[in-house]
Amino acid sequence: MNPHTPTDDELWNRARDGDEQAFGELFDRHAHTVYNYCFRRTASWSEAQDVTSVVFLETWRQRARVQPQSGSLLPWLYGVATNVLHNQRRSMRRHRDALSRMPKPVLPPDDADEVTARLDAEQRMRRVLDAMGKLPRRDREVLILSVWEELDHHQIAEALGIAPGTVRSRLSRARARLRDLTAEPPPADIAAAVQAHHDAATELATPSPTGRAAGATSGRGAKAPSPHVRRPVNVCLPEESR
Amino acid sequence: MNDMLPPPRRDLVEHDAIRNQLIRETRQMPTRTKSPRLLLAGLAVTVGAGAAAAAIIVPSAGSGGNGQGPAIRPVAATEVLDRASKAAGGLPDIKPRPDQYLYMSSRSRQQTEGGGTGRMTSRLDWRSIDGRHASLMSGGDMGRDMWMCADSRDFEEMEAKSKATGAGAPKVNLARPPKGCHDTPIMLTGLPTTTQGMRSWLYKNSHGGNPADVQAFITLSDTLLTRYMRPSSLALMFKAAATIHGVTVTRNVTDLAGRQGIAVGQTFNGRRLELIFDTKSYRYLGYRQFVSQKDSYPFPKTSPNAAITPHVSKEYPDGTPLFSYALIKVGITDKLKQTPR
Repeated sequence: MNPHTPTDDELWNRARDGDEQAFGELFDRHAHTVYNYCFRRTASWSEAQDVTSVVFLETWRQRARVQPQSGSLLPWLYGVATNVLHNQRRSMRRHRDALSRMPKPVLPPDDADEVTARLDAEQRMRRVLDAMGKLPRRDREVLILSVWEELDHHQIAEALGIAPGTVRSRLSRARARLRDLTAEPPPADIAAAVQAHHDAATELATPSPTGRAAGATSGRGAKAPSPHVRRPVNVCLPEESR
Repeated sequence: MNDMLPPPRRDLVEHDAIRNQLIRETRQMPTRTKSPRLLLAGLAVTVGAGAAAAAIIVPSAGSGGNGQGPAIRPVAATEVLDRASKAAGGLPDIKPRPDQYLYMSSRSRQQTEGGGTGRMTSRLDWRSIDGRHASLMSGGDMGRDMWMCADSRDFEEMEAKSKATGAGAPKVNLARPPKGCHDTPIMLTGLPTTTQGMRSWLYKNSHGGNPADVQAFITLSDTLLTRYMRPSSLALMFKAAATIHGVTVTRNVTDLAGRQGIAVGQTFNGRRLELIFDTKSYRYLGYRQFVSQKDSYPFPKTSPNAAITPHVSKEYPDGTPLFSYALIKVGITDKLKQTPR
């Protein structure tokens, strides 16, 4: 980002003040991410496209409440997307008229490779989601935001409107449940990714002398892991704060 | 097990088309406010003040509060205009008689050539409702009373006599107003009754070479400056203004009368034209123009010979005021020189 590139904060303030181009720029910045997150939650490109539109419409509808906390609008968009996906029918109904006016996704007819790739992706995503579907919704949401979307705990907390401590506990619980629910060990890639996040989470969650999480202090990740780090994360985590 | 990872990300199909349609949708979508209390409070102030003031439509100077404006939440121009529309709709619906006068107390300041802040002038107007009676202007640039009476043989004779004596404009004698005036009635009637109709009216009654959206906004501000309309029409006019492209918000505005306001306006060709509304009640307070070099919207290019508003020289920094106008008080009177309650 060069010095002249406006931040999300600046763009959002301008958008709320009626600058349509600013709203368009925010869409350009984040639509790709939101779209793929929605796909990873629905296993359907067309559904993901509709939900993406609804996420931006809903963000605009709630504009009086939206104030990016971390300087990026993305956590908010993830939060709206998560809610829209949870209440999909209601959200779609609310924006039914607007959706009917949105352009329909039409792939170039001669681009057979793209069509095939998208169909394959939908089938593959469906299989992954079936595995993930064994987790409770709240845990699954945290896990996906953390592992696939690579949000840190504070961003997930901002997105879902929960405390960072809650993020940590849900994440550890998701990992444990995924392990318990699968007859065989969790799929290697998910397990590896979860383990990586588990390590990071454990490090962040190493109890302070008062028994509370030390928090995401910068530079902590550079330290050599303590003997606690390899212990199951849920043993080290503080009580859920919410 | 590699196939258990999500597949690679892909691009949104029809990204630009979706973006453009979303922008169109946002123009007409109402907001969901966190709490309706702020809006209701604003309306209550409007209705309450309207009921108490009876003949006084706009509050007097200093009604903006205790000098410390309330924290203004950033709101889109459409929302400001929507609130202004609601506030206007709540004003008392006065139906003046043709022989009455519209009283207007105002202040204005014109940027002088070559810089400087210009001199602020106060002015009182008594404008004939039907345009058939002589209107009177007091104060203003001339600093004295003057008749306003168009297409009147009587007034032309008065002017000729006055000119012959070297006195300039005829001296005002309230006991002997000019007769047979044919001014445009100050009361603007026959306006459309739908938002879409009002929008069309603004565009249809716009003349000039500026881009259509710019010209429509100029027509809006000119109409507010020169005509009086019923609250229902004023409400529709603000609603229609919310559909004009390139209208953005300026917060924390203080008008010429020291009132705290929130402004909506357009920036085109080096100047920004804004309508100012009371921060709390969203009543129309006046308008201003100042230098601003960045267009508020990618307005379509005008032809080289188009009669557009002249570009403001870049030697003036952004924010340099060009013209400010504050409407202090409006009311209906039976006679000239009478002050409404």
